[in-house]
Amino acid sequence: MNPLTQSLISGLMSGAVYALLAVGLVLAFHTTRVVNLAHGESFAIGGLVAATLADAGLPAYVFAPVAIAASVLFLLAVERFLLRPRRSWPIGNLILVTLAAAFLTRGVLQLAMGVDPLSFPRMFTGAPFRIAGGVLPPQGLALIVIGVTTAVAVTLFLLFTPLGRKLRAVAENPDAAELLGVNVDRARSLAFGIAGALGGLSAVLLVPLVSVDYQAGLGMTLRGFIAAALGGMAPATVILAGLGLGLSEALVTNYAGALAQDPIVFIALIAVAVWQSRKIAFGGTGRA
Amino acid sequence: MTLLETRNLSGGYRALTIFSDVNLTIEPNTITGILGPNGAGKTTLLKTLAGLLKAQSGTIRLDGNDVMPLSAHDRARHGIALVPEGRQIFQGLTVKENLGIPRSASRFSAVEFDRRFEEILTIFPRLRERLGQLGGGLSGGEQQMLAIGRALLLDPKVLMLDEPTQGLAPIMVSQVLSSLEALRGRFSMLIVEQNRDFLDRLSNSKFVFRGGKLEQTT
Amino acid sequence: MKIMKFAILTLLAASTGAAHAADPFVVGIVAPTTGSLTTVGLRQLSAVQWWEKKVNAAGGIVGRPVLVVHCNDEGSPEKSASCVRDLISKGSVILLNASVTGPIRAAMPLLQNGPVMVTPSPNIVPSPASYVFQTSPSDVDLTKSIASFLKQNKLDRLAMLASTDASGEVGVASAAEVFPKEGIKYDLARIDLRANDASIQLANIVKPEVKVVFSNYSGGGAAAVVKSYNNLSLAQPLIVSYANISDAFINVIKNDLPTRLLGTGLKAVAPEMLDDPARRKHVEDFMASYKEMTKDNVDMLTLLGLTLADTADAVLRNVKDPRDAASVRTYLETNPVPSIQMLRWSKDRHVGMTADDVSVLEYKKGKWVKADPVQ
Repeated sequence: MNPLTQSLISGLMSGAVYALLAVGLVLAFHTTRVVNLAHGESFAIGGLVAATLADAGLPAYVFAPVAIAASVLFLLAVERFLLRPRRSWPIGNLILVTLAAAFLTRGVLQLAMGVDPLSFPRMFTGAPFRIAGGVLPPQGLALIVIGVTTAVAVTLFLLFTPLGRKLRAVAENPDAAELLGVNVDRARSLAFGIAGALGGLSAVLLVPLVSVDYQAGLGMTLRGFIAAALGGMAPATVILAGLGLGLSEALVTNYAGALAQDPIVFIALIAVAVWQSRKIAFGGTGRA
Repeated sequence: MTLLETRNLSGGYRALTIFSDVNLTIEPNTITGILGPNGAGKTTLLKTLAGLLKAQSGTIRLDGNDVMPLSAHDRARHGIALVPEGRQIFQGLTVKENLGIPRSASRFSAVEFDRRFEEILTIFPRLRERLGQLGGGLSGGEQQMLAIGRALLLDPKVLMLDEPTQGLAPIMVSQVLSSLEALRGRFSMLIVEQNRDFLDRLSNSKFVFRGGKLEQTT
Repeated sequence: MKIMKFAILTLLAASTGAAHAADPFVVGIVAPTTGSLTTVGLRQLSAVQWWEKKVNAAGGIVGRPVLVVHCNDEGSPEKSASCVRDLISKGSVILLNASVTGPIRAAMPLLQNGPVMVTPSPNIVPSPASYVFQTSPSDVDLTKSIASFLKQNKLDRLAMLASTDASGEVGVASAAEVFPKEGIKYDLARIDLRANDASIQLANIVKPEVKVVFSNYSGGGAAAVVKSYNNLSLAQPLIVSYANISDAFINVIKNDLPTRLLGTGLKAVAPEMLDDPARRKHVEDFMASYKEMTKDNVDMLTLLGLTLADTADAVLRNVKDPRDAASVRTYLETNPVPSIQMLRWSKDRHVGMTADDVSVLEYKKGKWVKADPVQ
């Protein structure tokens, strides 16, 4: 086995998940200006629903769509019942509302699904691919290909379709968008629905390779948020940031060991934060 | 038949009443001006008509139909357009993307929309030169043109403009004035301004806001 | 009406009388029941609660009921210390600690004057001068059992994965103490607790000449190691840590079981390995009764919970005044406590079991049994 090749493969696998999570966070952020700290719960819900249904003997073509639908419904509910009625609240308070939603969801999942980690069988089986001394299981390849393709597709949708432009308009100035006939509530539902689908999809792809429990959500939110922040909350760059984060974590683990991983990632995050605040202080176009 | 009519309309923010008992009648294809100092309630009235603020009491009718239950985006679809104070263009979208936002809400058909899109670029040639630029990079006058052009693409029955000359250089003010004059007679306009000369040149009838009440003036 | 009045008065008299005659023995237990160590805490707590119900149903101990008071430390050292303070203030005569290394260590300095605290964490090696007693073998003992398994199979190479937390540190120290002495060469890699992929670490340490891999990583995250093992299609037997000999762990990796899954476990997990028939019967009776009461199977974590309950039970039955911490300590240092296996402490050693109590087990057909040789 070649540790370097294996690091690159492993980095791409986690990078694809970070990219999916980051794009979901950015979508919600862009339509509401709220960093949705309950975003990762869509991962936990999708993973636990899939595992429970798989345990009940249902095939993947049933449990995967149902799990993704559950994640979609969850984030739609967060937008509809928690954020929409509080539209006039300051953003900081709304972020706390999403944090509360995350903890509440965690509690409900603990009661409903139990505390033990769960998993379910891979959907993509077969002999692993051996590439230059590295090993890539078919499920891992599916994770990288589907994950990156979906993240890119959502970004292209935002940048180049009329609906995507509307979402960006709502993000920037909801009142002005409303005056031009855009249904802001519906646009936000759409953004949260897509974000939920991305959370559910990442669970369906990743959980067979790892496991999921009721408290997986906040950790996932944190990983997605780091990628999103490194990418400046812009949809196109967060995909690169997600992949870059995954690859650099893997290379750090390979060359410097797992103990060095957190310090290096957080130093990078602080450096990016300082760099971005400089840009703002010197009159850049970025909004804090 | 009257186009837009309010009866005893009052509005404001939550418990605070900014204007009350406004009775305003706008006939088709006319230009109505409203004068008044800062804080008199002009912007609040336009936001209430557009649906961004909920009226506290009274009625608003468009073509005889009650529009009070409609949200702002539905009123826009029915022909009430507002070019808000400060232009509020989407800075992160290009000029072309800004102009495309009203497409699906517009009363124009898709083919008609594309034709009108061309027409807007003829009325405001500066916008044609800047189609690919981000809205945030435009000058104040260009932003005003973009904001008006964008609202025109809704095919409004009544176009409301909130302080269209605010912060513009005199040369830009006259450009905005001539483009609005060119549009006279195609739909109604309701213009709120502090610049009396501007309104004198354009409006068929003028009102002034005093202490939250609307009074006709000459 | 008269009858009702009489009945109420009688009941009242009976209840107040009973309260005077039988103040309960308060037994405090610290166990993480939320957070990443929930499974570890809940399963042990559940065994202790089984004991509480069982004892009280039989009329208590010397006529007094047992009251188990639980405090959730969430696996956090700060909360663990405040839990211990709280449980002492509630009058606990003995403390049970079902948490993990870091939180247990944080609580130990609070017990300079007792009460006695009992914990099953193999990573805790209490000073014999302290009031802390440990019911497992030490981590060094567990490591020794791996070394002797390798020697039995004539192997001198090992690949080892350890987590980056306090438990991982203990594992790394034990390996450095045991393996070189036994002439075993080992390659070590560390893995972050939040990591969901261990393939880089495995790629670095699992070389062709390595015949066995050991993952010293407890909790649900350890599943990532097994899953990565499968992703890389590694064929070597994989030994998992003491804390992963649980149904919950098997359930999460059931779709990705390695060719051979081994683990360091107490012999009681496979009762047929116990030589003492009394111990075997104790374990088998517990397994049956626990299953009947909770509809749940016993795994090693539940058995470790039972060692806590058995120790408390022995103290409450045999020490005249269990509120006197010094006499409880003396009792435990001088009398073996029969539990799932014999717990033997002394004035020089507060660790209850030794390497002899441990075996390398193998998961076969839904059960842990004695491990087969490695080819």
